[in-house]
Amino acid sequence: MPTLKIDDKEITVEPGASVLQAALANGIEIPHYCWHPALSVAGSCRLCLVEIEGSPKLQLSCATEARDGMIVRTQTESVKDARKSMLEFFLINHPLDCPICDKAGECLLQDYTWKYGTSHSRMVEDKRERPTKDLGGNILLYRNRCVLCSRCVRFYQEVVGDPYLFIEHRGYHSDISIFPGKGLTHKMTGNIVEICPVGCLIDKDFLFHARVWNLQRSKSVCPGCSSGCTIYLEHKDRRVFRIRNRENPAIGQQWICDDGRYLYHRYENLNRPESPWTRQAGELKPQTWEQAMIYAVEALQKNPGRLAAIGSAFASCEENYLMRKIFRQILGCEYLSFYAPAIEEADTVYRSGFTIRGDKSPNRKGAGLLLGDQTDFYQAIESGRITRLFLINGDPLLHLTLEQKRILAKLQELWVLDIQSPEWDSVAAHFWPIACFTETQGTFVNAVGQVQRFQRALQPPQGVRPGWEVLLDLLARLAPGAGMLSAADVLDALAMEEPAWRSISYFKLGDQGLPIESR
Amino acid sequence: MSEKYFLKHIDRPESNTLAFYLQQGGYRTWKRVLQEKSPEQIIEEVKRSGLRGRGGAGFPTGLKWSFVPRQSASPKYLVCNADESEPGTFKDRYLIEREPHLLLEGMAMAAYAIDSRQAFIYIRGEFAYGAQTLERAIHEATEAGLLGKNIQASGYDLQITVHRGAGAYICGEETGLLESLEGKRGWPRLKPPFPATKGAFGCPTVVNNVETLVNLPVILSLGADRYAAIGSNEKNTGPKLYCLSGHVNRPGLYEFPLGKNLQELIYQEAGGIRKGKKLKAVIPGGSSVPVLRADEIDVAMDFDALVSRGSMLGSAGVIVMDEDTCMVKALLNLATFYSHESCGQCTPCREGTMWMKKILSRIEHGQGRPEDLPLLEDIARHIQGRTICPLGDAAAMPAASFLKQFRQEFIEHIEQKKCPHSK
Repeated sequence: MPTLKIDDKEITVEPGASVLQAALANGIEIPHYCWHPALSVAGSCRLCLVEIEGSPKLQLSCATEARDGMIVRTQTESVKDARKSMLEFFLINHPLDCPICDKAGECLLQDYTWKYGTSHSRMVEDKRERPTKDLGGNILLYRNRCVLCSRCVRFYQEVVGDPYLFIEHRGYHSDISIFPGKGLTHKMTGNIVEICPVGCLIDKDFLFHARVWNLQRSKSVCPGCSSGCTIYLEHKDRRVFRIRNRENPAIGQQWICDDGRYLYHRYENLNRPESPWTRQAGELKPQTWEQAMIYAVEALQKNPGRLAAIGSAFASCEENYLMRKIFRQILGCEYLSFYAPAIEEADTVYRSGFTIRGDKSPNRKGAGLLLGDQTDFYQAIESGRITRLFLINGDPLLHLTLEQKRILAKLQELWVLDIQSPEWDSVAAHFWPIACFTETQGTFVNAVGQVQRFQRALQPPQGVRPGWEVLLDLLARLAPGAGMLSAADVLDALAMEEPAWRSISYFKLGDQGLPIESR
Repeated sequence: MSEKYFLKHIDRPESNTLAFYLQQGGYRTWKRVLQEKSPEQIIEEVKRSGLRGRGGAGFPTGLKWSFVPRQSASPKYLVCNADESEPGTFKDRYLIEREPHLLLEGMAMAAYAIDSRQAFIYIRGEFAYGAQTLERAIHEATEAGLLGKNIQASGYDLQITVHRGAGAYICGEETGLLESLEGKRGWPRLKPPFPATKGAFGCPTVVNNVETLVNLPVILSLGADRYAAIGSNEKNTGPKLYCLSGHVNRPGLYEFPLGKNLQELIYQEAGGIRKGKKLKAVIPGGSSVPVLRADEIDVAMDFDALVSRGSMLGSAGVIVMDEDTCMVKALLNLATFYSHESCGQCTPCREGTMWMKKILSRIEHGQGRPEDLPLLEDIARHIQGRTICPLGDAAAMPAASFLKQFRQEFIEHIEQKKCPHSK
C-alpha cells in the first residue's frame, strides 16, 4: 500500500485512493466543492489544488492518485494563494444573502471563505443576476448562489441513472437547468439539496423554517421501508424540522429517498389520547397508567388459552421480544403473530444500487424472527380460536377495513398499544397510547438483516409512554425480577436468548449496526 | 524563393480534385509506404524528421504516436483536429478546401503508423464548404481504392469520417474535441489519462492538427533527412504556413521554412504596414500568445526563438497592429472573445475571463481606476496554470503581456478618463 507524506504526516492509503481522500481520511482538510465520495471526479472547482513535490504547477488533489513516496503540502503560500483567489472567483457573483439563506451555518462557501478567503470583494461591476427557478417537487434552484460544482448533475447521471439536470449555456452564463416541460417528480430529489455545497438547491419543505445551528440532531433509522436507511432527525422545540441522510458504510447506504425524508410529517398531528382509556358501558373512559396496568395484570392471567398476542413490523425488536416474553413465556399463549402491511409494489432500484423497498415496514424481518410467521389472525378470530387479543401497532398509515372492524368487534376483549387511536375507537376495549419512532429508542432489522439502533429525538407528549417501557412495566408486574430496566437491557436479554442476535449487544451496535447471524 | 509544399497550387482552383492530385504525383508515397514500410519504420522516420505538432503546442509528433500502446484490445483512433478557430489563424481552412487529398494522404499514413482503422476529421461547424470538400475527397479516394477496405491489396483498412462541430472554440482543445466527437458537451477532460491511452470512446487515440498531417507526405516522399534540412535548426524543421492579418499591405497565407524572420515576413513578404504607418505591436502566434512590441520583431518564427522572446509560435497567426491601434480596445476585444468562448467548466476561467472583460470595458470607456491594473494582473495570474485546459492560459497570457508591454496606454486611459484614440 502506498505511503505518502502530507504536511509532514506519514499516511498509508489503499491503492488507487486520491491525495484528497488520503488527506481527508487523516484529518487534513483540503477544501473542495465538486468532489463527492459517491460521485465521479469532475476536477472543475479547482479549490483542492495542492503542492506536490516534483510538479511545477499546483495539482488537483481530487484527481491525483496517492503514490508511494509522494510529498504533498497543503499549507504553503502558493496553495493558500490559489484557494484565496478561487474563493474570490466564487464570491464575485455570489449575492451574499446569507441572512436569508437556508444553507447558512452549513454552507461550504461560508466556511471556506471564513477559513481561507478574504473579507472584501475587489469587484465593483454589477453581479450576474438570475431569478430563482422552481425545479418541481420540493426543490428550488437559487441560481445566483450556484458554484457550478455539478454534483447535482452527476448525481442524476450516476446515482439516479436519469439525467434530469444538465448545465445549460456556456462559460460565464453556465447554469444548472432542467429539460423543458420536465420537473423533479421522482423520489430522490432531496439528496441534491444535501449534496449541494452551497445554498443553491433549497428544499421548500424546510425553507425559512429554522436556522440550522438551532437544530439538534438525533441518530435514527427511517421506518419508511425495509431498507432501513440511517438518518438524522433534526429537531428543536419538540418538533422535527427535517430529516437528513446519515450514511451507513456498513451496508453501503449513501442516500435516502424523499418518502423517508418527508416521512416525519406522518407523525405530526396524530390524534393521540393523553392517557390510556378503557371502554365502559360503551364510552371511552380515561384511565391512569396505574389503573390500566393493575386491571391488565389481573385480566390477562385469566384464561390465557384463547388469548393471542400480535406484535408489529413497526414495533422495535425490543417491543416484539417483550411481547413474546410476556405472552408466550409468562402467560403461555399459543397464538403469537405480528402485523405487517401487505407488499403492494415492487422494489425501486436506482442505477447506483440504491433501493426503495416495496415492503413499507421497517422491522418485518425482526418481528418474523421473534414471533414466527405472519398469520391471518382475523381468520383465527372469525373461527373462534382467539377470543381475546393484545396488539401493538405503530404504523401511522394503518387503516382498518369495515370487514376487519367487524371481526375485531367479535373479540371479548382487545388491548391496543398504538401511536394514535381513531382506528381503534370503535373496536378496542383498552387503548394504551405509546410513543412514535421519533420519541422512543430501539432497534429494527432491515431487509438485509442489519440490526440498527434508533435514538429518541423528542419527548413523548404528556401521558404517552414508549412501547418498550409499557411492556417492561407489564412484565415486571407479571413476573417480578426480570432485571431489565432499559431498552438496552431488553436488547441484551434478547441477544442472550435468540441465536440470530448472538454476537449483538446494544453498545456493540454503534451507529452503523451489525448483521444478524443467519441460521 | 524557397520551395512550396502546401501553397504550390494556390492558383489552381481544381487543386482539390483527385484527378489533379494524382496528376501531380499524389498518393504515390502512400502506395509506396503501404508496400515498403512497417508502422514502426514510419514512426521512426517521423521522429527523425523532427516534425513538431502544428496545432500550437509544438509537441514532437513521432513521440506522441509512440505513446499509443502497440497492442490494444480496443480499436485505436486517429482524429484530425480541423476545428481551426484561433483568431488570426486561417491555414487549415486553406488546406482543407484546396488540398484535401494531401490531408487524406497524411491521415492515411498517420493512421497506418498507429494501426488505426477508423479516423475522424473533426471539422469546425462554420467550415461547411470544407466539410463538403472533404466528404467528396474521401469518396473519390475510396472509389479509387486509396482508402476503405483492403487498400491496394495490402490487407489494411481505413475509414475516414467527417464530423462537423457546432461552433465552439473550446472544441479545438483536443479532449474537448473528443467529448464533442462522442456527442457530449465540449468540456475538456482532466489529464491524465491522455488521449494516447484513453481518448475517443475510451480507446487509444491520436489527435493531430491538419497542418501536422499534411507534413507527412512531405516527410515520407523527401525522406526524414532532407525534410529535417528545411527549417531554422534541428529542433524546428519543415515547411510552415504563416497567416498574416491586420494592418499589413498584403495580408494572407504565406509558406516558408519554419523559422522565417518575423520582420522580413511583415516588411518584405507582406509589404509592410498599411498607409505607411508605423508598427506598434505584433501577436505572432494567434490571439492567445503574448504580444511583441515593434522593437522585438527581429526574431525567427520558430518554436524556441519566440519562447526566448517571451512569446510563442502558437498557430503562426501573425496579427499586426499599427500605431493607431488602441491596445486597451485590442485587449478588450480578446478578453471578450475568451470570456465568450470559455466553456465554464472550471472556476477561474469561467469567472475570471468575464471579470477581466468587465474591467477592460470600464477602462476603455473612461471609468478605469488606478487599482484596476494590478487587479487585472492578479486575475490573469490567478487563472494561469490553474485550469483544466489551456484556454485559461490563453486568456490570461495576452492580458498579462499587454499590461506589461503597453502599460502606459492603460494609464493614459485611466488618467484621461477616456480612450485617447477615440475620435
